[in-house]
Amino acid sequence: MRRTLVPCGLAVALLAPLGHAHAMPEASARAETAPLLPAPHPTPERPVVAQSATMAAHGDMASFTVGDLVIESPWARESVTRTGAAYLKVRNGGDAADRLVGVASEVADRAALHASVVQDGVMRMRPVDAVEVPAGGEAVLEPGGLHVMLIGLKAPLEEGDSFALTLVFEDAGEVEVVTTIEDIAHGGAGTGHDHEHDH
Amino acid sequence: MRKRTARTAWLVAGGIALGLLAIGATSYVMRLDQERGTASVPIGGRFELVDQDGRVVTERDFAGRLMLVYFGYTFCPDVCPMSLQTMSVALEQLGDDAKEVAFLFVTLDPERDTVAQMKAYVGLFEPGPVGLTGTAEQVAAAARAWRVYYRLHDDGKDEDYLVDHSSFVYLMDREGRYLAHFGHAATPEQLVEEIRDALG
Repeated sequence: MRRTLVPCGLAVALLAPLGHAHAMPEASARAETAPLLPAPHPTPERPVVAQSATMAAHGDMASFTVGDLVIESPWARESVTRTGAAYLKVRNGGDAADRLVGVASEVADRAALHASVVQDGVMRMRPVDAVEVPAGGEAVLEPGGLHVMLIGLKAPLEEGDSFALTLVFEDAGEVEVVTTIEDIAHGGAGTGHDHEHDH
Repeated sequence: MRKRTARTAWLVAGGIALGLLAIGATSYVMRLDQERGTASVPIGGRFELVDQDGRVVTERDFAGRLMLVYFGYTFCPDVCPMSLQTMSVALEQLGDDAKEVAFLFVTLDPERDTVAQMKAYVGLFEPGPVGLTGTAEQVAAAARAWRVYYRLHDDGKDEDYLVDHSSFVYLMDREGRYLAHFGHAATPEQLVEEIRDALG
């Protein structure tokens, strides 16, 4: 009994780091699944916005409504290539969850929901079927995570311009949002846009 | 009988303690590997590529300066602009010291990232990188030297294919030797700290 216990103990002790190393990238594993299920936030203490798809204000404060959903600050980076990325936030003031299931735009051949996933240092972009917008919560499309990928841009996206982006929600239906084109630095380091979650 | 029990217990306890130490050490090293720090294989070396003005460029053109290098592709709409932006901001924060650092962006997708394409793209950043492209072989050689993983999802049917690639910012010393690397979530401040250390 004693003779087996010691080698077993030592074996476990020596092999444990390997097991730990194998299980190590928990953060990366989290990153792979996290974008599809954003954590719900409590409903903000604000008056309900008007039930119409109108632009409420300029630039960063632009918002659009459809049903119980408010889409805030849609923006895209300037681009000189055939691909672009658009970002926005959707807040759900209603009692029922909804899902963003489609995107479309005249500025590109195709638009699709994608997620950037970095695992073990390797960056991959993958199509996403739908983005959940929990009841009383929000969904965030932001740099490094979920985004609307614009594929086959018909012309460069130039800073200062804007374009129409159609969002299709499973319950609330379609809404067209005006997407502002920002410079390449927007949403990144040094622009005052601090991300509150870890990648 | 009792002495042997005691000694066995100590051996097991010692083994477990060593194991715990090893777990701690491994986590520390792996965290460094993930975010910033040292590599266990040689990284970097010689390369021959073409810059955004069509000039042939080798590692010798940057000798004497540190190099901050990122491998990506211009059709990458999300992570690549972010990483380049982080590097750009770091250089801004360096002020005068920025002239000691060469800012390089190497494409992993030379077929679409032609010299003209690179020129248009790097011009969007201020300060912007030297944009490096070349033949598929030249790019593959550079990627090999930096141990960069990449996979072009080019099936020949879709001109708008995606590229999976390892996403690190590399810092090289004045002789072009590896100093450190940073994960995609690194901040400009982290880059600046490491660069200032290297500048001494």
